[in-house]
Amino acid sequence: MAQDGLYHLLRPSVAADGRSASERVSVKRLALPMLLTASALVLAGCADSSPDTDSDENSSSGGEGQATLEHPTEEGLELSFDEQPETLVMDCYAYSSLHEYGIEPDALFGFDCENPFVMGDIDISGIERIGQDGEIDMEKLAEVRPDAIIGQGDADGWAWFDEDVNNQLTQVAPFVPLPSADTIDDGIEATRDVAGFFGADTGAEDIVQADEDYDQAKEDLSTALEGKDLSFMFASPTKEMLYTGVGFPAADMVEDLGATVVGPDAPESGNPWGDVAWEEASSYPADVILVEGYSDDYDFSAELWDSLPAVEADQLGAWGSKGALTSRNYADWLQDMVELVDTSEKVS
Amino acid sequence: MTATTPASQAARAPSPSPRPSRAPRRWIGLVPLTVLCVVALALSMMVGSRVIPVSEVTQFLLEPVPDDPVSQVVWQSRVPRTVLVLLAGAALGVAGGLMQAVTRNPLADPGILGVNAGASLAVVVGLAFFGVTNVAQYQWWSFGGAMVTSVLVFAIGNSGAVRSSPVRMTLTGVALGAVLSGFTSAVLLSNSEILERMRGWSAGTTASQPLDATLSIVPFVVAGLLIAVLSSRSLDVLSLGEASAVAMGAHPQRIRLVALLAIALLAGGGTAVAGPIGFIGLMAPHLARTIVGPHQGWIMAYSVLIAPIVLGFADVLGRIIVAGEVPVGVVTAFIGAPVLIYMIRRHRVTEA
Amino acid sequence: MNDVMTTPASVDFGRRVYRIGPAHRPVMMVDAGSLLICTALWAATVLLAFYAVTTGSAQVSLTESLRALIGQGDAYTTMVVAQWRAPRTLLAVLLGACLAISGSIFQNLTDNPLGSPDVIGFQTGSFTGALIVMLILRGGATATMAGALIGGLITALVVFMLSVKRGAVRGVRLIIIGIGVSAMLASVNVWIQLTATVEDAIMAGLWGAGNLSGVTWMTLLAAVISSAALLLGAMLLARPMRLMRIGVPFATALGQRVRTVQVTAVIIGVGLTALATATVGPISFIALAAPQIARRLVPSDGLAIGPTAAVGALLLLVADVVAQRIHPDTPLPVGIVTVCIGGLYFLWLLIRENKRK
Repeated sequence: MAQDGLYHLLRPSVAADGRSASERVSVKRLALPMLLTASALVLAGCADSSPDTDSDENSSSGGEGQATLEHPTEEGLELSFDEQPETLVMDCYAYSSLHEYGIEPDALFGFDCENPFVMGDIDISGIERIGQDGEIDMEKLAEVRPDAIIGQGDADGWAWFDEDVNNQLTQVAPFVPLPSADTIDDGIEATRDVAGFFGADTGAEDIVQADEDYDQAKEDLSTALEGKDLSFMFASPTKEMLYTGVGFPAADMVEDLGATVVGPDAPESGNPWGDVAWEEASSYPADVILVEGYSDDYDFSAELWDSLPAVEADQLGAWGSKGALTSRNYADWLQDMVELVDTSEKVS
Repeated sequence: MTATTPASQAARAPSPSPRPSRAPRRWIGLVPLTVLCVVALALSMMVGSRVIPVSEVTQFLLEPVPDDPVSQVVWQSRVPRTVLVLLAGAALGVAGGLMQAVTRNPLADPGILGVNAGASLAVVVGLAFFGVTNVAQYQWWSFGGAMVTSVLVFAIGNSGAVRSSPVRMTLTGVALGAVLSGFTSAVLLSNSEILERMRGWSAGTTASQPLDATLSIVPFVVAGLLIAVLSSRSLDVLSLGEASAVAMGAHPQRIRLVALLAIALLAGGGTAVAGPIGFIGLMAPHLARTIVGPHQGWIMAYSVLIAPIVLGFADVLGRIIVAGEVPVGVVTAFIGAPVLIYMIRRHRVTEA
Repeated sequence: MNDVMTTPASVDFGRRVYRIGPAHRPVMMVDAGSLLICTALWAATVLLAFYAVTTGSAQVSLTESLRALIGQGDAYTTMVVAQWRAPRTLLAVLLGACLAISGSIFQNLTDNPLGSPDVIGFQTGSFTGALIVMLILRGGATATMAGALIGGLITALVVFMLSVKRGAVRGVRLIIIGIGVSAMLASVNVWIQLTATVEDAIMAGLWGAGNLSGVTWMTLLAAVISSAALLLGAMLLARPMRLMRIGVPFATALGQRVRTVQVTAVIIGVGLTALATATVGPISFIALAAPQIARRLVPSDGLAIGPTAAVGALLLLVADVVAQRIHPDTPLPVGIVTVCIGGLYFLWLLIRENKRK
């Protein structure tokens, strides 16, 4: 039927030009496609409204096993489920944070799934991929028949899909946005709430231990920083420019613990990163540079980068603007920072 | 290259200009252009996002102090960028002029003919599949991509045809360029990491290009320029049309092949050091042609000066216009387009 | 489908023409070769559309698909087949035809294959408008659509205003100015994307590549309604434009109001491209390649709306089918595939043409 409808829609252009065989048959066959198209539209109308009635039933049924999530950071967002959601689809940012709580997805999509700095040592090879970066295969998503979809975004859906795609997404299952918070502590807290809703044991021994380690690491770093007048730059170098992170939650936390963070403020709109032309890079006195996604085999190279004092002295560390919002992740990072601070000298 | 060869006189014949000879004016025209070119290069040395007094720049130029941050800026940013502007500008300007002559299409330039797209694809492939990270490595991938694409465009555009049609060559370039950039997008849009590293380069930037890497491309550009100069008279003959050229004893196919070699060297070299900068190759020969008329030798001589002027001013403007920097490719298009449109409106469209 | 593509070899000399209407003044003349190829193209399109609607990542059997299409499916299959696949497929066909016709109009007006809307900047302008809304003003889908529409129309207006000289628009001048404006806007686009985060840049890039995901019946309905008048206009233009290709003085002598025809053609051409771009983003290359491919399949002068629309529709549909299936993990934006498939096929045609002559 659809192809008949399609034929009909385009027929005018063919017929009036008179270059098609369909010219003479068109009158005879006009009625059928028209009827079919009309019925398709009616059908679409019916189908469009059906999910709404479904969800009405959901909220009013209130039967046993019903679960309601009051979202920790999206004000006024309450998500009701008929029963405890079991089948989950996540974006990789969500999985990186929820993995530690033992919440496993049935399928993954989204950005940075291959980025070790986001995913840590989580092995995702056995999990079905239904999309990459900004794209998702909606049919594969539907085929998983998820109970909930978790990812970065807001009440309307995933942050990087347009409205139409998000409408289809929420047609498949309710979307649970990852909490967004201005500080690391709040972020960890709120993420834990969401994990708890999906059945995590947030009082488990390793979680409690991670919390303790995290607090300890904060103290250690602030002790290490004392008496060492070190300044830090949160950076992401590229060929055309040096991007700096001032005002990122991680930078704010380090600043609260007693460090000086240097770099320009982010532009007023659009992008949280500060722009530093390479000529200006050395005018920000940084003793330690934290490079986004830094690792031992990191080999970005540009002359003006290589001659920065911190780079020459190899006082480089890692940080991530994204990545797991968990006590464990940040405890480890802060401990690495302590080591870095201990071995770093003032060079700027 | 003199203005009195029979070929060039013949080439001038269809020109709309009624004047008997432009030769003295052409020589005089080079003077202000040379001055402007020197000014552009000097500005590129003196002006940047970091404010450094002229005296200090000169001082560090004469006596480099390796540990001084300001001296580092002069030697690792200003000098390489100025050299790059001169080299890439001249290469792209002449490459554009050659392309317009060979395709007999005033619209041809490395952007339209797909050469930039080929260079971009090569860099993306290097980044995505061969672990390129060092910015100096970008240029060899880009060079290779640009060379291969130029050859492909001309090979397909000329393949097997007794009488090659310039329109067909342009179409081939557009089609090939579109396909190649389609492949590039396919990689970039499903790989955020590569996009992050690639997108600054793909705008066309002079930043972070090491001086020695730029200098290593000089032999190719010089060779390209030489071939271009030597083939300019033959190209003038070719511009009379296939039939007339043959009648005058020229071998159109051979001329095109030689020009192609020059184009590949120049477009490859220019794109390698500066990234896919559009517009220079379109605009410089256009401006040159409106001044000197349809005479290849002169168009090239003027393009060699005009292109670095435009590129130099664009780069300087890009450095100071915002806190970070605007890549030169963005600025070039921004000042180039109005100039081009103005020229087109003032003069009759020259069908070279 | 291969048979279809190779048929033109047989149509080069002594074309057979059917006359419809009274013998002394035929209402229209239908070229036999054109008729055959058009029919074949549309048949291929219909078959492919059927394939697109009945297959996909979701495991819905053929019977279930058919049941869903006649309104007998369960909620799941109805959602996938009737609500997702069907409107998407139909929209691909419609917009493919719109873009192709728009390209054909412009290539005829400018008398140059490069004079297609994607080369002379309208789509770049649309993308600029959309980028400003998406990344700077942070608007939603409707606002993006409006931004794209406004961006495209303003660009078109500016290009035409700049190209008019002594009241006439000349082809080459229009193209050069179009390319100039387009290059300028393209660099604005690069710049806007460069200042955004990588995720936002990719989001915008996916829109900018042309994307058919998320299409609903409402989208399709809106597109059908707004394209109907434009497509009708294009058909009425076919005859006067064919006359004009013989020569403006000739057309004037025959009583054509040349200026009116030109202006109408521009409005319709811009309208069709703007419509497609606002709906699904700037899908490139269809407008450039479809008329060129059609001309090589069916030798003709003038608009040749039938074959052009058929090629455009088939091209976009093929691209969308491929785009959704080619990558194991993720669909690709359809625009990337239109470029690759259309471009490669076009190149092949060029090479083959070279060999034959």
